[in-house]
Amino acid sequence: MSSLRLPTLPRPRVRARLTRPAFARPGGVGRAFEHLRFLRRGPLREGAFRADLHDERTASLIGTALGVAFALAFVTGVISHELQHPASWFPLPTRPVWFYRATQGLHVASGMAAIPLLLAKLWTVYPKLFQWPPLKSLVHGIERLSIAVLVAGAIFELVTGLLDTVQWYPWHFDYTKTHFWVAWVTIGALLVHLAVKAPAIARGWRRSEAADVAVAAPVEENAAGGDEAAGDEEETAVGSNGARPNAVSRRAMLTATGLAVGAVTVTTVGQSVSSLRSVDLLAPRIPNVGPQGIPINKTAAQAGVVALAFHPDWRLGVVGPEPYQLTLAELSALPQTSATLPIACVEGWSADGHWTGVRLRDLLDRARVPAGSDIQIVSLQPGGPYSVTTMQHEYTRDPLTLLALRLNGEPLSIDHGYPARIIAPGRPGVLQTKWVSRIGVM
Amino acid sequence: MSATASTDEAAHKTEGVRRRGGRVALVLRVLLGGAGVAILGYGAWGLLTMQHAAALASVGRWLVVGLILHDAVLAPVVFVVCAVAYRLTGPRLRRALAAILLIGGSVVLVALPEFLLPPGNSNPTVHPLNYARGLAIVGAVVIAAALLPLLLTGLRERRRARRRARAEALAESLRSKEASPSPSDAGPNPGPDA
Repeated sequence: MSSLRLPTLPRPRVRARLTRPAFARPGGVGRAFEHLRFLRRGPLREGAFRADLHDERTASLIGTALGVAFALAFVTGVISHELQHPASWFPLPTRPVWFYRATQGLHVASGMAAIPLLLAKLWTVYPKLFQWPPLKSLVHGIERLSIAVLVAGAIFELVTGLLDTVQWYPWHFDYTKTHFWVAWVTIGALLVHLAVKAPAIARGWRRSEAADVAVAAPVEENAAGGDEAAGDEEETAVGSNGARPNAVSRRAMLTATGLAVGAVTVTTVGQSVSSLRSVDLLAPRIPNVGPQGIPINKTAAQAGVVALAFHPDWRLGVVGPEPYQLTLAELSALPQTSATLPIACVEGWSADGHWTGVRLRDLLDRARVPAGSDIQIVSLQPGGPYSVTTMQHEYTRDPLTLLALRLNGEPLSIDHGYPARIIAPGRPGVLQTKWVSRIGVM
Repeated sequence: MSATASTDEAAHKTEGVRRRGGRVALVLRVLLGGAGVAILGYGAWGLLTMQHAAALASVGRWLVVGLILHDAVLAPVVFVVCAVAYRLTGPRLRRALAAILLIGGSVVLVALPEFLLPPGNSNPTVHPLNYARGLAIVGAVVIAAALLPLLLTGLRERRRARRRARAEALAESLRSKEASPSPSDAGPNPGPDA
């Protein structure tokens, strides 16, 4: 397409405003492709696609399901982003305690479900990829470009998200930021697509004969381009607008798509839905595989904290108007609170733990930290984006927010954040800081 | 005359309503498209301002390569596979094959990172399963579920065909018996009670 020479623009004349330039006329640019007809082979051939299942109704129905999956993934993704980088307008819910577990589980599950849906949707409309002429007018070019942005963004989001679930980052960009911004690009392109295709979608929803009109390249009776390529390829090149009796029916196609979504979901969603753990055949995490029966995202060795965490001089520093320090023994001697709270990670896995420790609120009150102030939490981790994090006052004042010392009846294992870690209701796992060394207003 | 006038008026009115509805729909579409362009622009702005040039080049590469992998590799391959499968299969097998390709293909894609993941993550809680086993189980279930109805219909049809053949043979024998009612023929031919 890069070798395409556009027809020269007409020279401006007195009545230039009345004559539209060639590229803006419907079919104007398309004529330029007439001498490229020799390229019309394979899928570019006239009537290369049977109309079966490449129709508006199939495209609308699968597209609607895909749209729902993308909308769910987008909304839950924005929620996850706001919980980690809260804007002032965003409410920070601490109840239900499984809030983030649900939204992020839904985020990853809807992304997984979108993989078969995107495949089926692209298959349904892919004759359009090979339409001839490839470019008809400026508007047509812009529309195709917006589709390219949409498809590129959708594939990018699903691929990077899928690789994130196995902690594989074979690229040179910041995953979270890029995944976030490309989501906006993709959703924007999706809205443009919906606006352009609204009549076709409406026709597709209505169960009418009009819906069976093929979206495949219109089939002409005297297929001029197909003449040279006719002969033995004719059987596969037959084009007919109606569904044929022995073709795969739309119902079969939709059922198979639904089953594909089901298969993908059932074999992976057990990483966040405990009751489906037994059919968790392909998930990157199993919610009860890990030290003390709970997975972890980063081991103490990976974080480089083993020596620091086991050091006998470890103290918890509480910083505020009246700062103080506590040893692990002193912390253990304080009134202990227990809570069953989920640890839920951005990668989609989550698991309930029974945590025991000191209420964060009590520790902060003793240092006279004002109730309305956000605090910083410092980890022993040397560097990394989560070695120092902020906790908003919604969480610091919550009676269930703990500086946990024990998990499931035992002292925290080193990989779960020994000697002390933060656990708060409804927060993303990356903010449940492990190996805490200091808390308070700094 | 007044009747036709009122009909004309009504037609005019519905036409007007339709045109107004069309205009409202068009305005809504333009607004939706405008919102889409604005959101797309916001995302592009965020992408361009939040990262340095080397990262942006990597983002661009991943965006374009993903698109190319689909449009220039996966789509043509699927086109060829469909064209070949269409020639080689009957309608029933075709349906089963389509289901296997779509369901199995999706499951394989979702599990693919587990197989391609380079070793070296010292965190044992990441991908702790035997994924080859998982994929084999899922694949077996999918193939069995897709082919089982085919097998059952095949068996049923063969049984039906055999029964029909037997009935026809019986009818034939009865007819031949009527044609030549000799007692010697009655022996070897099974009667209707047999």
